[in-house]
Parts: sequence; structure tokens; C-alpha cells
Amino acid sequence: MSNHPPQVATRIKSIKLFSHLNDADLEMILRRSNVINKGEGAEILCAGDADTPVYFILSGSVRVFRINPDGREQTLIQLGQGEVFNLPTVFLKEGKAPASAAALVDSSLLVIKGEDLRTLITTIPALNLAILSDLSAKLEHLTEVVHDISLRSVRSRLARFLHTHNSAPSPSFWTQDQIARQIGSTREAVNRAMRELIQDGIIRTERQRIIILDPALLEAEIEA
Amino acid sequence: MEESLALPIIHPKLCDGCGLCAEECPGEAVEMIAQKPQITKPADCTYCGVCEEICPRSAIELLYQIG
Repeated sequence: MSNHPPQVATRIKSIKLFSHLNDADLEMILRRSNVINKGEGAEILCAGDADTPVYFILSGSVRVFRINPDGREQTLIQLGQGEVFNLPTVFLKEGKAPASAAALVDSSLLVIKGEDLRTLITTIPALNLAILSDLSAKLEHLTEVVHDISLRSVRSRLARFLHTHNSAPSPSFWTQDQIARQIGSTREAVNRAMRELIQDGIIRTERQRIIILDPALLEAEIEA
Repeated sequence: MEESLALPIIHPKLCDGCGLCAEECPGEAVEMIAQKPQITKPADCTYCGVCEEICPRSAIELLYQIG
């Protein structure tokens, strides 16, 4: 039996990669893992770090990002409970982390070393397809991010961001700087694009709210 | 009871006390007190975003909910 508390054994079933595994497989995974907790905003790993493990989110949420020397950040993906990150490190030379990660809220993470996960992959064949599926989904997502950044204007990316987050089920508060990090731009450029959308009657702002006045025009902006 | 007014967030640790926000605030809602900005007249703040835009240290932020 693993040394993890019973709630970890229950939560591991919510990990998408492990959801179809039997109890014996899960026990094998638990024996080769440990759990860490990270507070809101805490750094989890830094891009380029060598020999980094793979992380599975038991609770909370995590932002995966890259940062350039002048401090500009690009959020690559935000992940929640049940998701995995830093998985490519298992298959990369030197096991260097391809991106940085930080906790968005207080988060609990299951951690498995790269070499241990490689062993688990050979022991539990059912894990292979799940890992391929996850890596394919991430590749699809990153292809979309590259397409957005290289082929869409800031105005178009902002329109998409607003469209996606309009009346979200659990609404969040955003600063222009945070929006810029999400869409791969700067606060100044986001500010300019927002003013343009206001001038064109597509959105309006009031205290602490961005209101979509014309959803059809906003959608047209995404493809413009 | 009066509803509390949402105001820009000032991060004193990031602020270098340049005073541009107080100078440029169109509603004159911001004052420099002990070399740090404070929104001393909240009712005069229109949430226009000039302070956020002009701050060279990104020490002022306006929060928005979408929708």
C-alpha cells in the first residue's frame, strides 16, 4: 500500500490520464508519486530546468507560460483539476522543462519523476494511449496559439478573448496586463485595441465591467 | 447603505512616487500622501483608466469582469 492519505487515492481517479486504469494500476502509480501543495501565485517550475518531474493537478489550477528576458509573458495554457503538465519532459533529451508554471490558486499536485513515469508507461500499456491523446490535444492547442499570435491582429485576439470569456459560468476579474499575457501582447496594445472596439460600438466599459454591445460584430472581428 | 465603489488598485511596493497619476487624473481623485498615491476622493474617480495607462511602473491596475 502507498503512504498517501485516502483522499489522494480518491482524487487520483479524477486525473484524466488515469481515469480508465484499475485499482492495481493506480496503486502502482501512487507508490511512485508524492504530493506537493503550492499557494496562490507560487512558482512550480521554470522553463529550462533540467530533470523536472511530471505534475498532475489534484485540486486547484495552474498557468503554464513562457517569459522573455524583458519580463514579457505569454500564457500557453491554463489547466485545472485532473490535467497534467510538463509531460513532454519525459520524452525530451535532458528532461528540460519546455515552459514555466505557477499556481493560479492554492493547488495540490501529484508529482512523478520522469524515470518513474517511463517505468509506469512500460508496466501499464493502457497509459500509452492516454498519454498520446493528451500530447496530441496539447499540440492542437499550441498550434492554435501559434496561429493566433502569428496570423491574427491584437484586435482580433482581444475580440476572441472577450467572446470566450463573455458571461463565463464562473466570471473572473481581469486587468489589461493579464489579458495581454493571455493573448500574447502588451498592456499598451490591448489598451489601444480596446479603445478601438469601444469607438466602433462593439463593446463599452463601465466601472469594473466590459460589456459586449454587439456580439455578431465581435465574432466578425475574430475572423477579420 | 451606500454601495462601495470599485476603485483602481494601487500597488505601493511597485510605485516609485513619481506622482504622474495624481497630476493626470481628470477627476482629481488621486493625491500624493507621503510620496504614495491615494484615491482620496473616490466619488470623483470615473474609472477612466488614465492612471493605469500613465503609470511608468505598472503600479496601478483596473479590474474588469467580462459580460
